[in-house]
Amino acid sequence: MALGDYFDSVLAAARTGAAWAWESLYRDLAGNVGGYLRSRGAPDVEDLVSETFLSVAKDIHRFEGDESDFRSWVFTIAHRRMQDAFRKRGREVRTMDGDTAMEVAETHWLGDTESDAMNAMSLIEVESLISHLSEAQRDVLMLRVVGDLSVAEAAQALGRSEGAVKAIQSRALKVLRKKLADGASPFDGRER
Amino acid sequence: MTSRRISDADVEAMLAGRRPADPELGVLSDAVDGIRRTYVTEMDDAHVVGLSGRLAAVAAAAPLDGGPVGASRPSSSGTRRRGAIALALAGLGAVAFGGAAMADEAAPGDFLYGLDRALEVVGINNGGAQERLAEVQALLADDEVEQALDTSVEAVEDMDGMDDDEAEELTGLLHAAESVLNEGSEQSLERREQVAAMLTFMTQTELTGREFGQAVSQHARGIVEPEAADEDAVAAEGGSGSEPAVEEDVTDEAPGNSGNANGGAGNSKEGSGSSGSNAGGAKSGDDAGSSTDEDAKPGPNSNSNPNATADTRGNSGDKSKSTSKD
Repeated sequence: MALGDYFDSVLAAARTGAAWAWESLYRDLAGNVGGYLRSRGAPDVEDLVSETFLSVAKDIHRFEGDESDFRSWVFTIAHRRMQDAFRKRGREVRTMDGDTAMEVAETHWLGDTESDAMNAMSLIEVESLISHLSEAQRDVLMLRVVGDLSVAEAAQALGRSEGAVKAIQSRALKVLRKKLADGASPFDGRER
Repeated sequence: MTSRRISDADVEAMLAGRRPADPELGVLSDAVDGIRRTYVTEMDDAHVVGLSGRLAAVAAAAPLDGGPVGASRPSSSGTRRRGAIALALAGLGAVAFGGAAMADEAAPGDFLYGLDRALEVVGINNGGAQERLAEVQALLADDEVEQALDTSVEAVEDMDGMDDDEAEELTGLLHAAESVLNEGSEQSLERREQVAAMLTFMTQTELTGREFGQAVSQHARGIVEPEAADEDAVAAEGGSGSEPAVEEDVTDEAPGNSGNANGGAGNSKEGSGSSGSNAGGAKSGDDAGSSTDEDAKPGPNSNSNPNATADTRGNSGDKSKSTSKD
C-alpha cells in the first residue's frame, strides 16, 4: 500500500526520471485510482488512469508535499479528468446501470477469466447498492473505500472540508445500511 | 435498528476494511468490503512496466520551473448561492422544521400555507431533503453548527430543480439564518424567535415569486444587526465574522499558489462552503474542477484556506438581495 518512509526517496528518484520509482508510485496507486474511476462509472478508465499519471509525471517537479498530499493530488487529477470526460460525453456523472456494468466488466476487467465472472456478478450487485447514493456520497465513499484515502485526503482531493466529508460519508453509510435492511440489494441484508 | 447512529470508530473501521465493533453492522461492513473488492483491481504487469517507462521519460523531460502544484482547492462555483441556501436551510431547520410535517399538508388560506410554500422552495418537503433537514435540526440542537451546515449543503446538492430566482427568494431567510447561526447559544433563542416571527409573516403574506422574496428580505432586515443590514457597509466590512460557513468570497481566485487548497482539518468553519465542490444541481458544481490539474494547489499547506470564511456575515444575503431588488 503506502510507501511510507520510502516515499521521499521514491519521489526524488521519480523526479530524476527513474523508471523503477515510477513503477513504485504507479503500482501503489493506480489500482485504487482505476477502482475509484470505475466505481464512479467513468468511461475509458484505463485511459483516464494513464492520463492522470502522465499529468503527474509532467508536473512532478512542481509537487510539494508528503505522501498523503501526493495521494490527494493524484486523486484530484483523476477526479477532474473524470469530470471532464463526463462533460465531453455530455452526460451527468453517474454510476453505471446494470447493462453498462456488465459491458464494462466484459471489456475492461483485468485478471483471469474465472475471477472475471465472479467480479462481474459482484459489480452488478454493488452497482445496484450504490445506485442509491447521491453523487456527492459516491464521490466521498468511493474515495474512502476504493481509493483508500483518509478523510483528510478525500477532503483535499474533492476540495471539501473534512467536516463535510465526514458528514457525507456518514449519510452514505446510513443510506447503504437502510437499503441493505430493506433488502434492496443482492447482499441480502438482514440487519437485526 | 438502522436508525441507530454508527459510531465514528465503526465508520472508520468499516472504511478501512476492519470489522466494526457493533455486530449489527456486519452486513453493512460486508457490503463495504464488497465494494472495495469489486472495484480495486491489480494492474497488469506488462501495462505497469510499459507505462512506468513512459512516465519516467515524461518526468525526465518535464520543465523544472513553474509554481507548485497539489490537491484541489475548494470549488467556488455555485457555492455562493448554495451557501446562501444552506444557511437558509439551516435557519429553517433550527426554527421551523417542527412545523414542516404539518405544513406539508397545509392548503391555501391555512396558517401554515406560506410556510409550506417557503419550505417547498427550499425542498424541505420533497422527499429525502426532509430527512436530512431533520438531521440538520438535530445537529443544531447539539450546537454542531458546522456539521449542520455541511448537512444542509448536502441537502441542497440534491435539489436539482431550484433556479436562481427561487434562490433569490431565500436571501431574506439567509439573513435571518445567518443571524441565528452567528449568535452564541445565549442569543440564539431570541434570534430563532425572530426568525419564527418572520416565518409567520411569510404565512400571512399573499405575495408571490420575486415580490415574495423581496418582502421576506425586507422583513428579515429587521432581524439582522443594523450594520449587517446595511448593504454597503456590509460589503465593505472585513472578514471578522465568526461562524458563517459560506464561502462566497472564495471566488475563482487566480490559480496562484498561496496554499489554500481546501478547507481541511481544524477550520471547520469552511465546512459548508467548501463542500460545494461537485454534484449538486448540475449547473453548479464543477467549473473549477474542469480546470484540470494545472491549477491545483500545493499539497502541504493546503488547509489554510484563508479566504474561505471571511466576511460572509450578511454579505451574501445582502449581495444577492440587492440583485433581487428593483
